[in-house]
Amino acid sequence: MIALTRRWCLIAVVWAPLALGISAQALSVRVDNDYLRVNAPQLEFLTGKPLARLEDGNTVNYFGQLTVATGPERTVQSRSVVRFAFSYDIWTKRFKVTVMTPGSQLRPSAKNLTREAAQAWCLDQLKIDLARVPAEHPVYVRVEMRSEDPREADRIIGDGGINLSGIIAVFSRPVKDKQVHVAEEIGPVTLAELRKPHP
Amino acid sequence: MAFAVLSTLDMKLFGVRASLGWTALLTCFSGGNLAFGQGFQAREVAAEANANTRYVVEAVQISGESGLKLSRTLQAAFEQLVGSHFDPAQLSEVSRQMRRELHLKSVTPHLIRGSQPDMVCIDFEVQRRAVVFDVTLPKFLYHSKQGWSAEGTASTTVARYNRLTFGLVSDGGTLTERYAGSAVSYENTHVGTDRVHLAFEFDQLHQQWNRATLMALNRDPNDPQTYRDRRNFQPSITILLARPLILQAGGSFQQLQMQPAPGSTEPDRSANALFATLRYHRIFEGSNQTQQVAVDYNIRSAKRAFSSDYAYTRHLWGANYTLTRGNQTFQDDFTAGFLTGQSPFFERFVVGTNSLLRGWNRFEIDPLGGTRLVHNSVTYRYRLPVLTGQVFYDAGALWHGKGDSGIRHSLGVGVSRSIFTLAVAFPVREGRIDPVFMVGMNY
Repeated sequence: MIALTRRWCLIAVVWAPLALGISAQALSVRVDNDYLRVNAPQLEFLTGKPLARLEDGNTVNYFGQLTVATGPERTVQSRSVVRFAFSYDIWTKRFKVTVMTPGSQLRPSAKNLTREAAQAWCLDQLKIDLARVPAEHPVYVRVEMRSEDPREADRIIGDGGINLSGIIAVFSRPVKDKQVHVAEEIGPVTLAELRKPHP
Repeated sequence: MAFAVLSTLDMKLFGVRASLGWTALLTCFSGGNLAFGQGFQAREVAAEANANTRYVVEAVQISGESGLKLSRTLQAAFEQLVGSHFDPAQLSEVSRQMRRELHLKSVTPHLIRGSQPDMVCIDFEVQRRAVVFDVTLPKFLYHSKQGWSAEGTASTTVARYNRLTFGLVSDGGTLTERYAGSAVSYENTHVGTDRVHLAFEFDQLHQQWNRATLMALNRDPNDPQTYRDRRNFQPSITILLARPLILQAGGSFQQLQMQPAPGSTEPDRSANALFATLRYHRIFEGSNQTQQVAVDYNIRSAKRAFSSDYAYTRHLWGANYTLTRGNQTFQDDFTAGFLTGQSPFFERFVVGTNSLLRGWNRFEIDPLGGTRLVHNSVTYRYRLPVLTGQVFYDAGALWHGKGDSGIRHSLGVGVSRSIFTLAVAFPVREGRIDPVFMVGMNY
C-alpha cells in the first residue's frame, strides 16, 4: 500500500506539471496590437463527417466564435463571430478557407493550407478589440468552432449580416449527428496579465 | 454534342463533353449546401470559395445501385455537369433532383480525381429506400363529349424488386364502353436478372354502354353481346432482349358477366387469350437535335382450346417518330389494327377518342367499334417560355372486313404546360363546325 502511494505520488509529481502544461497550452491568448487573439493548436475541428464531406469535394461552412466573459456565470462582454467556408482541393490535398461575411465584398481567404494551418488561419481571424475587454475584471476567453447546418444558417444569415440572437441560440444548441462543435476556454485572466510580454 | 452512356452493371458513366467551355450554370440552379439565402450573389460566392471549381468535370457516374432509370431531365442535368467547371451548388441541386425523381433514400456525391490533373469525376453514391411508396395519376382528362376519364395508381416497392400496385380507373374515352373499376398487380423486377420481370395483374371492371351502341346492337344481333362486369387475370413476363428491344408475353384470362335481355338469363363467358408485345424504343441525340423512334407490335389470340368462348386474333401496330430541335418538336404517330374472328367488345378498335381522330364522335363513326384500323397523327409543338403551343392533324379510317367507312380528318390546336394540356379539335367535314374540348393531364 505504501509502495503504491509512493508510486502514485511519483507519477503525480512527474506528470502533473506536464499535464497542466498541455492543458494550459490548449488555448493561449495574446494581444496583437489593439486586438485580442487566440492560439489553439490542439483545437481540431476539421474532423469527422464535415472532413469527410470536404474530402468529397463539398464546401463546408463553419461558424467561429470568440467571446470574452466575466464572472462565474460567464456574462459575455464582447463577441466576435465569423463564418468560414472550407474546401479541400482533391488534387493538391490542401485546404482553402474563405471568410464569408454577408453583404461584404471583402472576403479574406487562404489556400494551399494543411489541415493544421487551415485551422490556425481560421482562429487567427477571430479577434476582439481590446477597447471592448473589461480592464478592471478578470475575464474568461472562450473560442468555439461549429460546423454549419444549412437550416441553422437560414435563420442566422440575413441581408444585414449575421443575426446575433440567432448565433447565440445556435452555439447553445446540441450538435446533430453530422456536425462538429469544439470549444476551449481559458481564464480567469486580466487584461494586464495578457499585456505582459511572454517570456 | 456527343453524349455517351457507358453502362456497367452498377455504374453509369457519362463521357467527356467535347467542348469544355465554362458556362455560368450558377444562374440555373438554386443553392445547395451553402444556404446563404441571398440568391445569385451568394451562390457565386459559394462557388468562389471552393478550391475545386477550377477543375473541369470529366465524367459523372452512379454507384451503389443498379437498374436506375434516369429521366430525360436528369440525363440533361448530367450532361450539363460534364465538361463544365465543378460547381458545388449545381452538384447539390442534381443530387436533390436524383433523390426526388428516383425516390432514393440518399444520394451522396463524391468528387474524385480525373484522368488528368485539371479534371475531376463525380460519383453519385446512391442508396434505395427499403420500401418505396408512390402515388401517380397516369390519366386525368375531361372531354366535352365523353365526360371525365381518370386513372390513379398507388404502388409500393418492397425488398427492392417487388412492386405491388393498386389502381382505380374510370375511362369513357378508350373503348366502345365506359369502364370503371380497380386493378391490383404484383411485379417482380428481378427474376434472376434485371432483364426479366414477372407480373400478375387482376382487374375488376364494371361496364356502362352508350345508347348508340345498344341501339346499333338491336339492329344487328350477330354482333357481340354486351357485358356488365369483366374480371381479368393476367400473368405476364417481360424480357429485355437488347437495350432498346423489349418483349412482353403472357395470358389474359377474362370472365365476362353478360348483360342479358329483360326476362332472360345469360351465362358468364370467358375470353382467354395469349398475348405478346414487342417494343423498340430508341433515342438518337445529335448536337442540336433529338430523335426518338418507338415501334410496337401487339398480338392477342384467343382460341377455344384455351376454354375461351371467343376465338379471335388481334394485331396492333404502332410507330412513333419524334424530332426535337431547339424549341420545336415534330411528331408522327401511326397506328394500325387488324382483328379476325369473334371477339368481345373490348378488343375492338375505336376512333374519335382522346388520341385517335380527335374531335370526332366515336359513336357517330361506329358505335360498335371496328375490326380494321388505320390512323396517323401529325403534331407540331413550339415551346414558349411559359407554355408549349401545338397544332395537330389526325387522319384515319375504321371499318369492318367487308365495309369501308372512308378516311376522316380532324384538326386541332392546344397549349400545354408541364403535364397539363388544353386542346380543341375540329372534325373536318362539310356543314357545321362542332369543336371538342379536351383538358387534362397525361393524355
